[in-house]
Amino acid sequence: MRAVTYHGTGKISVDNHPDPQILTPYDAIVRVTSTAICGSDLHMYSGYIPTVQKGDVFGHEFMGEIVETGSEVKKVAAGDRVLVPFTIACGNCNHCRNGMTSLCDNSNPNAWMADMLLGYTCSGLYGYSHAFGGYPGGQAEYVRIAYADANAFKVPDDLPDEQALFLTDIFPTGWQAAEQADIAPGDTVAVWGCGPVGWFTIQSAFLLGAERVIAIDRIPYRLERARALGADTINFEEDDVVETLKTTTAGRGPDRAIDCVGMEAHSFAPDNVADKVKQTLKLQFDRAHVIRQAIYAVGKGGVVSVPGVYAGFIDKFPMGIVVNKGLTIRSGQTHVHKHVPKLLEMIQDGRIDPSKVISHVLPLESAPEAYKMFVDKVDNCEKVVLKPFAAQAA
Amino acid sequence: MNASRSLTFLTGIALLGLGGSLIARSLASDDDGSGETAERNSNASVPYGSGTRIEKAFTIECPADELYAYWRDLANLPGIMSHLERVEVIDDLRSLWTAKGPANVPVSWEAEIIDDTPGERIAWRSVGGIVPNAGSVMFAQAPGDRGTELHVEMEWAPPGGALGKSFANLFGGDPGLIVETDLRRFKATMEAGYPAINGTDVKS
Repeated sequence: MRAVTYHGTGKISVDNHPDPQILTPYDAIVRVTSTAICGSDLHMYSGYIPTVQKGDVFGHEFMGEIVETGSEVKKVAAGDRVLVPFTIACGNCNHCRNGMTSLCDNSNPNAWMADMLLGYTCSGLYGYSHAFGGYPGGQAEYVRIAYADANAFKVPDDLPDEQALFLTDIFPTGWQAAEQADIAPGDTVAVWGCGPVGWFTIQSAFLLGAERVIAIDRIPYRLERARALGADTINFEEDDVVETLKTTTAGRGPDRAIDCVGMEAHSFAPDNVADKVKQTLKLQFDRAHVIRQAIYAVGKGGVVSVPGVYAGFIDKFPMGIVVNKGLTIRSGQTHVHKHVPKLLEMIQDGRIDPSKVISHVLPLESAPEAYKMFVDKVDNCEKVVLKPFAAQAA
Repeated sequence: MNASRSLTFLTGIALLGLGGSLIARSLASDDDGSGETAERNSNASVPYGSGTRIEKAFTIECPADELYAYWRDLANLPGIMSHLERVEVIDDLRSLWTAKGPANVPVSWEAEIIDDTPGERIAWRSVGGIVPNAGSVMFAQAPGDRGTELHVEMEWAPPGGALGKSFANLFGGDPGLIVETDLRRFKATMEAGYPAINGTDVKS
């Protein structure tokens, strides 16, 4: 089969790999009809995620048709059209039973690596480094699904791929980001980062009752898309974010602050320049300008929600501000499974149209150009969907 | 831990090193004045403090009785512990264990169960053999509705003689990590039917 394969920092190609096989009675094989490139794939592509190895297959946003199942798979069968959350759940450990599927005890085969990095392992992820499981990803023609009964969600026949695909990651991620910010009616919510997760976060904030959303980015077409959703915007290369937020909220500050940027913050502020040097020298995994700014800018008693991906340690964490302003920080990889049924219903009810996040639909073979376009933010690239079997479909 | 260790010393015995908490406690409580405890201790497999000791614990969503039953059938242990090739049960207390030794030469020894409290605790130790060793497993209700805590202790003494060095590394690699990985796979099997594998760097 063909699959997007990592060959070192900034280098990927679409290579031949053996077709995936059923390895346990609980597996399924999915023929991928649509797969997307995620902003978090760019962190790997740019070499910032530890334990990514040459030869690894990327991709954790994918859906398709089940072509084979192991003998113990009961809830799905060959022929079913399914979407697959990027966080892998065993379905039966204490965390899974309590809806915290991204904290699954059992789905990471390399749990010892994650234990070393994090203290305790979290769930395995598709196509996202060996410390997070070493599972081949979904930017491929076929994928092996672990614990299929817990992880393959049937998609209604009348729902096109473009509507369903983002339930695998970025819609639930944006939703959880807003939900864990404890948004109440009347709240002002500041959202750093207007990429695809920010785009879903802005809409989720409004759906949860936010009075006003202020979106922060530097890329004009992303800010334009945020305004189209009803958000006010700040271009951080033109205006002082902290001052603007303070003034526009008449001295209260935003009630909720959401960091949809994570570890590769762009800024020429001194703290970020120092972070960039340390990150390049591998002295530090993350550039943490956004989380620091969010903590500084959020109003007293506020909540800072962090869906953006951080990998390791950050310096100069402003703990004094957290304490003295009485802040709450909420974060986590997304418990996708918990959110899928409710968000699927919202799509079917027409309350949100996820397909509008898509800027490009390309054949899988175009992945190298697509990654470059996404990294460089050219051609108004917002979200790329890759079609592994585009040739046959056309 | 400290209290039970001093208890071990107070009984005036160089206890089995494994003795630490679990075995020491069970032996102390078993002492009915018949002298049996002292006799057991004098036969300790691993002189106190001389061995390599591993303690690992996991919480498993499974009733203690089921976990106990699985472990009490010692023939199941090779399915949990990757260093074991097989365990043949001789009678209710005695069994013959065979481990994967250095250079693929199997190592065998006889073991006896020295504590068996249904649903709570099993402890064993080797009798003779080239690699004196002992172990125990304890099952305890986790707080709240979190399943059963599984506490495993294993200890073995490095053997003397020419084979000493290679046997000291009987497990190969990091014994603590191997036991931890084994128990993690056991937890996944009990909870989810099968341990996680990825087909890349973890194939079976």
